[in-house]
Amino acid sequence: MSAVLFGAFVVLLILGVPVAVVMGGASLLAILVEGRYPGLIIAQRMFSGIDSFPLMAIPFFVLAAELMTGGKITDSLLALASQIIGRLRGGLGHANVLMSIFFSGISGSALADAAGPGAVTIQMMRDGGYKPEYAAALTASSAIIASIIPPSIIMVIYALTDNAVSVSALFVAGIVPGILIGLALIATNGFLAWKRGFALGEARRPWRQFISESGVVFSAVPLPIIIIGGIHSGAFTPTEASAVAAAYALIVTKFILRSLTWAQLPRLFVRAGLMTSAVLLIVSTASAFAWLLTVLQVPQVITNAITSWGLPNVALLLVIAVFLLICGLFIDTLPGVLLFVPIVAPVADAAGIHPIQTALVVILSLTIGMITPPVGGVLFVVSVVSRVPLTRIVAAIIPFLLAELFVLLLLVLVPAASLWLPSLFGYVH
Amino acid sequence: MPAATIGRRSALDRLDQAFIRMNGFAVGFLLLAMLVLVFANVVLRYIFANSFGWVEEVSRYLMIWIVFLGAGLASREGMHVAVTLFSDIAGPLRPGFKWAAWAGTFAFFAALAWFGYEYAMFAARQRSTMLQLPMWTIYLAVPIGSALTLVHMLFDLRVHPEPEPQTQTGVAT
Repeated sequence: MSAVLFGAFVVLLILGVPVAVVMGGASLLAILVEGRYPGLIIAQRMFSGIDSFPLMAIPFFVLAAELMTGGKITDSLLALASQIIGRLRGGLGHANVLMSIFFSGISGSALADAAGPGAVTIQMMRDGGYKPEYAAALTASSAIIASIIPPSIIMVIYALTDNAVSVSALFVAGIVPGILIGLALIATNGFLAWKRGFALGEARRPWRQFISESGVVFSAVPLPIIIIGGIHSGAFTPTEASAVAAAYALIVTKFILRSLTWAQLPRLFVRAGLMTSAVLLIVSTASAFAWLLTVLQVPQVITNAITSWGLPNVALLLVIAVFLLICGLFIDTLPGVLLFVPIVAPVADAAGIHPIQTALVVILSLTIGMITPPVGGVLFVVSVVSRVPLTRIVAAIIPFLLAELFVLLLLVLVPAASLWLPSLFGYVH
Repeated sequence: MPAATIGRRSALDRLDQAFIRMNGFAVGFLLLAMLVLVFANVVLRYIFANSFGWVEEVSRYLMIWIVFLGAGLASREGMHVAVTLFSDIAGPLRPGFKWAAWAGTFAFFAALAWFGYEYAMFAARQRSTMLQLPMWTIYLAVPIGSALTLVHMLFDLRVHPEPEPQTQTGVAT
């Protein structure tokens, strides 16, 4: 049975079948060939895999980000970032990263960052005289901050896969590493700007003028506060917080700023609905696949094997990170979390590593996979929106990739980087 | 003869467009309904200190319908992730890869339509915990969504005689 499962998985993946269908098809074939379970169990497993209230945070977070982008809030976030940091050497690059940090507070998706505001920032940097591949590479590497700083769709899914961590704990834990990535990218951009002699940015507008021109940006401020504050205080469940965030985004863009027309609304809802479908179809078939792995006792076998090596904690985390970085070259973040967390989390847990630290290392390792070829979702999106060929972006992304690997190493070596803030909030005992 | 062909084609095109629009409307409307229910329940709880337990159940089922109703339309929008690396470097074999991927996907959704239907019938007597809804009305999302996906895949062949690969740019993580 395992031969059919893994054989079909590899063949379907290589053929270019959508990943959701790869996992569903491989599971179904294995079930039918084995003959121990009836075929309808695939429908039952796929159904129960998404029959979950916490998963509903995903459509609402996607919708909130769509509404904020459609309502042009993201443009003013970029204006604010330029206002703060844009006048330095390489200032537009710095503004690009800072903008991603801001956008991360309202979006849970790196791809949404790359496709929405990313397209705008790349154009702005090109207009400012940056090489297109440099602008695209920096945008791609800063987009992944959206998956680390809350809200984060991948963290919602992680918390469902590993019961040892909660969504709110992961959200709080993501803030420091997310900002560290931003700082690492800003430092890299600053170094390259100095070495390659980039021009100084434009002078800053007076703040009074900025507020009268781009003051709408401050309407986005309550969103991250609603999400983090609401969940942490126990006022909302993560799902409720996401619904409140989406409703807030709708009310602000439609009725207060009036930057969203009635004609735009149906399209935004349909897009958010279809993105939900694409994400949750993977969750759905992956849960059938993961069920078969459990039936075959694959996680147990791997867990026992790794535990028997008796590695010290740091070495174990390093092995996990390198393994996931290699997997991330070929597989997307979402299936990566769904397939590997059930294997990796118990191993790390048994070794006494705090589950929140494991979670952050796993999530960052797999998320970095989105900007590494040959399979990297963010790279593809950025290449499409910037019309820069993939190979040129890949060459330009290396320094930024190194900066992010440095932050990953920091998360492995220094538990406090991921645990200090959650411990202040009482999530670490 | 050509005139008749053109006439028939454009009627099919109109049907396709109407199908896309109605499918999109259903997905968008269900998402709106989900948002209204969950948000209203939060408001009710905080303002009137009272909320409905059934909202959690109904909104969950709405989401499941969204997922399966949206699967086919999402594939037409190129929103599903796929690894096209190998077909990209396959040179003259490329159409073979694309057709194999199309056929594999089609076969999966055809099987899922059948097994989803079997499952809905198997569980025909189950009821939901809060509202006592007959569960087959929710389980039917799987076969109906799969069947719609098959229709989308066939319509898409008319627009793109060679199957289009998914763009790898879709999933929102």
